[in-house]
Amino acid sequence: MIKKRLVTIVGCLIVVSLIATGCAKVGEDITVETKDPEYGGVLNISMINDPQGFDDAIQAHYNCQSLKLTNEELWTGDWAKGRAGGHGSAECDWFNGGGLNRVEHKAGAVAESWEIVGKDTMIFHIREGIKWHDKTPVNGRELTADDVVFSLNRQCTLPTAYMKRTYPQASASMQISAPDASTVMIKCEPKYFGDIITMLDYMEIYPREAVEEFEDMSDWKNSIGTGPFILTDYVPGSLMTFARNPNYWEKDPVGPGSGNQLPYVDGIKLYIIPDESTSLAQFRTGKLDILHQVDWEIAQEFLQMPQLKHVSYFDDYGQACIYMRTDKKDSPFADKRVRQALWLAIDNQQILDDYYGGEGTLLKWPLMEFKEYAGAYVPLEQLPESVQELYGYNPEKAKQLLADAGYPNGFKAKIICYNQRAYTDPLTMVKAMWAKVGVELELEPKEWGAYTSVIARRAYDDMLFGYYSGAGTCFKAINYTGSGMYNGGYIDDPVLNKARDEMLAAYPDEVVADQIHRELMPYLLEQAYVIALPAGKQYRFWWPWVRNYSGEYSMGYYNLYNYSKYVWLDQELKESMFGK
Amino acid sequence: MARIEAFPVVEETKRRSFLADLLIRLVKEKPLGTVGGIIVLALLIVGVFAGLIAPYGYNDIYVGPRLGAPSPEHLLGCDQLGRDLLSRIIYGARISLVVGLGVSAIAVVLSTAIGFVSGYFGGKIDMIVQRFVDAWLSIPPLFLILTLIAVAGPGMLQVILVLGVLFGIGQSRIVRGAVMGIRANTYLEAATSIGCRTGRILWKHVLPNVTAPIIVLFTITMGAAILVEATISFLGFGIPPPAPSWGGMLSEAGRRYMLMAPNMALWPGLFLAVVVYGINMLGDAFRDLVDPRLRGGLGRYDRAKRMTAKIKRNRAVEVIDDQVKNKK
Repeated sequence: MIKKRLVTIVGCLIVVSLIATGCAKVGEDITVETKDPEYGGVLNISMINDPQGFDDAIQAHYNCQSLKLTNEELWTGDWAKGRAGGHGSAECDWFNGGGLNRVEHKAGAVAESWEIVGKDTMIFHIREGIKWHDKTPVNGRELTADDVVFSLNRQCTLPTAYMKRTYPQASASMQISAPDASTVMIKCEPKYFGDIITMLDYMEIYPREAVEEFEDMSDWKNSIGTGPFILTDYVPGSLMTFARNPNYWEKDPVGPGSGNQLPYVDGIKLYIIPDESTSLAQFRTGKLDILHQVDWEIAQEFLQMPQLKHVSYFDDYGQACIYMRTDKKDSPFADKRVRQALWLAIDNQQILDDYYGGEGTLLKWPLMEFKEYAGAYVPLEQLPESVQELYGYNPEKAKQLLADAGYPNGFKAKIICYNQRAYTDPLTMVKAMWAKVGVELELEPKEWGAYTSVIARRAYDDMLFGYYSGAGTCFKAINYTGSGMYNGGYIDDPVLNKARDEMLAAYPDEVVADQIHRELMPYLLEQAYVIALPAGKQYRFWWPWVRNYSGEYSMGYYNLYNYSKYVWLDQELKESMFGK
Repeated sequence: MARIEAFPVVEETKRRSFLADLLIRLVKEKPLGTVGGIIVLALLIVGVFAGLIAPYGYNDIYVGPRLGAPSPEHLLGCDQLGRDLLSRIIYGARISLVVGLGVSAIAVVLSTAIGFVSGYFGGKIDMIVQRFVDAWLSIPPLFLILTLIAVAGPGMLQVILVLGVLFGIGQSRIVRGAVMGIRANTYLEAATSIGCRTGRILWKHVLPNVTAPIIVLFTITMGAAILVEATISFLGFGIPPPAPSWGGMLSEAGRRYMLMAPNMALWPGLFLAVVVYGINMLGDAFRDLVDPRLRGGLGRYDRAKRMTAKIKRNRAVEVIDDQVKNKK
């Protein structure tokens, strides 16, 4: 009898706990940090690929991801203008993987303060007391203005440097000098001022004698910076280990730990995990503290785990859109009616609903909806009807437009894309939809190296499913003007060119530049130079023992992981959940 | 006592064509090979008539629920774009068939040409050709395939050409060996001595005698080609989407949705395994049937043994009959 009752009670408890788990509220987005920070512990995070280098004058800055932990720029994104554990001004979210680049949201890194003089000069006052990592040959000496001048000049002159390769004219016009030991002056032609301002947030500073001794800083063992962490070990394809820099200069700017020495954690383990399912399993079992990027479908599993915290956000990092050769006179894409027809033949809402689970946005190009760029953005519902119509689905009108343009039976076209599901799936849907209006699309997927080479050279005949430059460059209009790789559609429209010149002339007055961009958007979209498919929402999850964290990823311009110096770990909580 | 010497009483069977004989013996002697043959036949029929058999087009999106489970409307379920998996599997059979046949044809033609030149002429030609083949075989095949596809670009034609050349050069060794074995025969010396031209000798005397290994090569290559195509499509270098290559279906989408919709990986994997198994069994059976020297095989040797036994039995019966008559 007792046994029977016991079984019944246990059974009831199991049922109740199952119901409770099922009905539990999903993790809340943001909590206000109230506890005093604790020092210690190791932050475990991951990335997909190995870094391709440790010297951003040799490799592009976005391929040297770990540099943001070991080295510093003149300025960076301001933690206190983000969420900052619920204590920041929340002007920014810093969720985006890169590309947020407003001057008003910058904080000094190596530079303590700066002055913008006119539209061609910047003066940076270098922070006193910044020490290099205690490694030979610098042995922890103080950083000087000479190091900054040397590093920036190297970026502008070395043929391998991203700055020199991508912005040769701007690099050539840049004059960098150090009027005294703690001041750096940068002058350039006014038309390149926007480029220079952008670059100062991703060009890292290196010690002169180390570069001269090692020739470059490509070997991880030579890694020397002034950043919050020191790279102590690197096993390619597996793990990067960082130790806390005991001589780091920065103090916690806000919150309960205001004034505390940073960083809080003893170190970081940055795992390299190319396989998605492996990183999911690592996170599930508490071996990773933060899961940086998952889509809505994978997120459903973690949303059922009430102990996890999460944010969902839009990210323009890695988003792609359909470029067409608008420059070829004999190409169908030179005709606006054809471009509009192709857009009208895509059921964007169906893609959004069925493929992205209804969580996403229809309007992602030339700018996604970010609170930091709200002034430059026009929501879809505020755009003219003629533009809104393009985001609808009207195959009959598409057929009519094609017939008017001289293609009553459609045509054949090839599109080059990356050979991954995230690229081929949306295009597969487009192919099926375009087939209904007689346009036969052939997919030509390429592996990453060949794909990026096509994008860099804009070497394609019909169409290209290529990525575009993020919000941080919207004032430069490089997605639809000029001869750079991001103008994948070979667009050369006098209206757009004029607007670009006006925005560049207005810069660094971002409010005026925003206004010009905002006024330009309806015209730009109505031309249908680029067909941008919907974008899904991304999710970020973290365990509750990661404290003073609200989902940040990159503060400033492509500064992945630079939030890590501000977070601290509740090690007791972690032990109570997963053991030692 | 009358004795019957060296004149066995065996029913004379009508002489059948090589192919008919092979098929009849396949059914009679090789049950597993017959199953393989049925699978290959099914692949042929499904591949050729895919357009008639498949309930939907292979790229008809959202004809069913996204990641839908098997149901009466969609017997094998639906994929991440709501496409009917059964229809994609059926059209995938066509791709496997075209790739298998195309690659095998190219490989057989190439390996025969190289094998004939190398095996028949011998000497320096053989040495030069074989060193090239050695060098070719020393390169890891997957690396070679991925490099060539990266250069040629993805596509069915490219895959067929690359795999055909890859298999063809490698397998030329087998044809060369067979040709060298035949070259030592006296009938070739006789043909040469009466002034037959090389082309005629190769065509009339060598080719018919290496047909058997070539048939076996063809079937073996077919299974291997389907499998390699699936592998490179799995790696994203094969036949581009939305073409429903079974390997491609198994790849990223299949892996990604393994937990949410296991049928997405299960069906292409299962069909791939069954078809390759069937082709291998058929090839194995062919090899046994046409090669009497093969250890464990039951080809002509077995038939000859059975015929001998039958002769002995008939002789014994006749001897007994004789004895009975003599007693009378």
